[in-house]
Amino acid sequence: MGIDHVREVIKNCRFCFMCRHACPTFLATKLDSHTPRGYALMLSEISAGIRGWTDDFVKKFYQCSQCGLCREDCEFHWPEDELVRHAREDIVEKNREPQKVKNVLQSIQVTGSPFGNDSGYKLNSRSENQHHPEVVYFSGCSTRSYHPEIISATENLLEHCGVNWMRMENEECCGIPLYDLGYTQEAKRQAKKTYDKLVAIHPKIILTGCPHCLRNFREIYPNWQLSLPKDMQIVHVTQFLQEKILDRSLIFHHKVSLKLVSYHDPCQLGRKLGIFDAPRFVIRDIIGQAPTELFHSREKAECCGAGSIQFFIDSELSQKVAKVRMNRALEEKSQVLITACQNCKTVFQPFVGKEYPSMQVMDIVELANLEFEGG
Amino acid sequence: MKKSGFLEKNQWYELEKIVGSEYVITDQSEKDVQSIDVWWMTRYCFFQQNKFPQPLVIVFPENTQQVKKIVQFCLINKIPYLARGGGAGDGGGSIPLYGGLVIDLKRMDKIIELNEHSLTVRVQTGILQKHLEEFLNRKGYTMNHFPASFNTSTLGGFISTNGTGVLSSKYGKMSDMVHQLEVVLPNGNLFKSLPVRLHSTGPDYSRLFFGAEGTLGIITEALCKIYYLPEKRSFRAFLLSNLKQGIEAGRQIMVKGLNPCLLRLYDEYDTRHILQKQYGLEKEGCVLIIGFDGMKKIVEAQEEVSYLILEQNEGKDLGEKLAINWWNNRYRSYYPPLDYICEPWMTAVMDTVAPYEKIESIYWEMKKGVEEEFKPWNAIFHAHFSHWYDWGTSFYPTFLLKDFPSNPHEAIRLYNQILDICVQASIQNGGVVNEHHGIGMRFSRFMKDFSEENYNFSQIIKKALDPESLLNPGKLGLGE
Repeated sequence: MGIDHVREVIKNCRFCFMCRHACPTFLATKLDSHTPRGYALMLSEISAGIRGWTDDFVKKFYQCSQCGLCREDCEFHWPEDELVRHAREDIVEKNREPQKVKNVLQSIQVTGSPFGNDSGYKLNSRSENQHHPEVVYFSGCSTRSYHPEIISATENLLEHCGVNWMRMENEECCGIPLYDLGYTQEAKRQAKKTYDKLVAIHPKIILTGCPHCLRNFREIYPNWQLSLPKDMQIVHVTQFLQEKILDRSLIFHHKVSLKLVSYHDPCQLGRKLGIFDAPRFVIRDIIGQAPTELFHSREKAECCGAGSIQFFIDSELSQKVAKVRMNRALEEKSQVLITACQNCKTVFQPFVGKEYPSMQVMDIVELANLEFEGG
Repeated sequence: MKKSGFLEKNQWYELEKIVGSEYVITDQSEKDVQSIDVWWMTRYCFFQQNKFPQPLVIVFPENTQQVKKIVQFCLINKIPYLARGGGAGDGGGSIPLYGGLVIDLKRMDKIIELNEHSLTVRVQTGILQKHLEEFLNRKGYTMNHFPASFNTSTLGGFISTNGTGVLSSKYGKMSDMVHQLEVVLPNGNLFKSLPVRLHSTGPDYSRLFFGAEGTLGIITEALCKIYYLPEKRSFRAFLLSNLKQGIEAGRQIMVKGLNPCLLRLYDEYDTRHILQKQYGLEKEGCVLIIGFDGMKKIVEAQEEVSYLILEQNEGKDLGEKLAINWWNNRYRSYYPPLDYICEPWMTAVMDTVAPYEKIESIYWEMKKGVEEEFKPWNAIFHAHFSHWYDWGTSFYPTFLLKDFPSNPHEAIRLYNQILDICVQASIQNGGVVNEHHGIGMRFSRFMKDFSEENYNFSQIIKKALDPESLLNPGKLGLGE
């Protein structure tokens, strides 16, 4: 844990400027202290005892969205996003994290969600606990708290697919926000709770629309000896829909006639998990044509600014980062910006109707659902 | 000049009124990371945990009017200041030697006008070159400026060092690439050169600011040349048995006007160090990589004649693969761990330019000086020749000492002794250090040695424009 794990990254990145041009936070603030080089240099100073974890240094380390674009852009793929996470572990160990970050921990410990009691998106009648359903739909904390419309849309699609599905009545945080914020031990404890519940239900498929939860289940749980049983598939909603389209359980008749539709690759889903084609396949099947590609897409897609729950920790900064990405959509004259992560929608949505009056933002499940609403 | 201690919060308020409070930065974190470039001295100070110069405040203007007001503020309050672009130089040019105020131009990144008829683009100079090139490429154009710091440096930084990129043998230096400049002068007024460069309506005063490293004014806007993306761009590698043959072949190609976009000649060490180690070459000697671009028919004719010249100079054709691989990965060497800068080694690149009849002797003098004089430190010297003209060429002499004295005074003395040897080798043989990296602080002390007349003239200009030496003092031998 902590800085010792990233000595090589510090050494290699602290004088290197080569990925600065790509860093979405830098693009929004133009501060060198928000760049991978800046982070490595500051950690180098802290390791050498030249500087300590002052409020200023701590703040900077909690303003990275850990989107991993720097790592992708780097010729040698130095894991700068991991460098930031390890630095946060060090900050936590020294009890120097900002109050807003501490609040996230407390909130999860008390309510099971980083965002407090979700205004309580209620489980619908099909969401009751069942024994060994085909699908458990794990909606994720930020979707529960901020995007009930995404949950409704997903549930409708599950109905149309005719699968036996359920949501957990006592769904709690999967643990990834804690992990991202440097609370690694607490994240493991939280993960164990969710793991036990999922294993007890033992569905064939754990379905989520949240790329953060998805990555946690797939990549991070196994590192904590919490590998979900091999007969339980962990899939993102876009992969699920693609499969249902391919096996003809879900048929779109191109009723949705939207023009100038673009797709924004969420960082966790795309860059970190490599899921690029399923969302594009689904969008194409719904609207009858491929979505317009934004400049810098797929592996090189710029972060929306919401990652590492920045939209909650530092909403002002995350809006600045989001604007840079929204401008990419504007460059393509997009009228509809589709994403496949609820947090991207959270930060894009406030621009709609104001600076971008002719643009709509929606999650991919909402787009799919238009077909069945007569949209 | 010790004027940096009095900038109080009420004065920051004045700056906030100019650029907005969120763009007046006093965070220690930002000051720290802006105070180190890639010059060995700043990195060494960092390793030694020595104090290094830091600004009191960093401001981020978004337009020329704001820059003017900031300059006027500095003038009234007698505060030293400098403009910063990417801050990735290797000579301390953007280090705030006397503290004061840094005007970071990276918010000034707007593309103002694309002229698709006369092929120009008008831009604010805080734009990163990579972002400008991306914009142009999407429209079917290119600026053809691809230096090592392409990803990270700003257009204004390149103009200020009169930079060159890897395609400079055809497309030239920054001074060849820019038609018009807008500059905020140290008296707070605006200078704008005439709308075309090649005129006889008095001297083209914009030339003053190419290579001035931000000591004479702050460049805020530039009208740059652009080109269509090439129909064809080809690369090929040849093996020559020694430098002499390589330089002669390159000379013939250039003086005959064959216009290669790329010409790179590696000495034996760099052939091993770069092309064998990183690109899998299995031969010994000096590799020359040549490239052409433009209309297919013209490129093919240029290739035919140039390849014949290379063969006549006993160049062995290595084919396209190595050369194309180099082009596609041309920035890879500048990433750690391949780049020396990630290691605590003593190193410097001293890009040197000279006429053809002089360049090789400068190379050998420098090599001999470094490797013989500093043998006890296992000093390594290597070079490649990368920017060619029809009158001469330039090369990157690089020295490397993995071990050096642990005592900081001795280490810094040793570093400067090596610079002395190399710079004197160049001066005595009719060359010029430096070609495009900039003087900054690193070579500042040699300005009089390079040419006393040139130095005296630069002092007159500096005094006329910036009598109190507030703008980027301590660089280029000015304003000490």
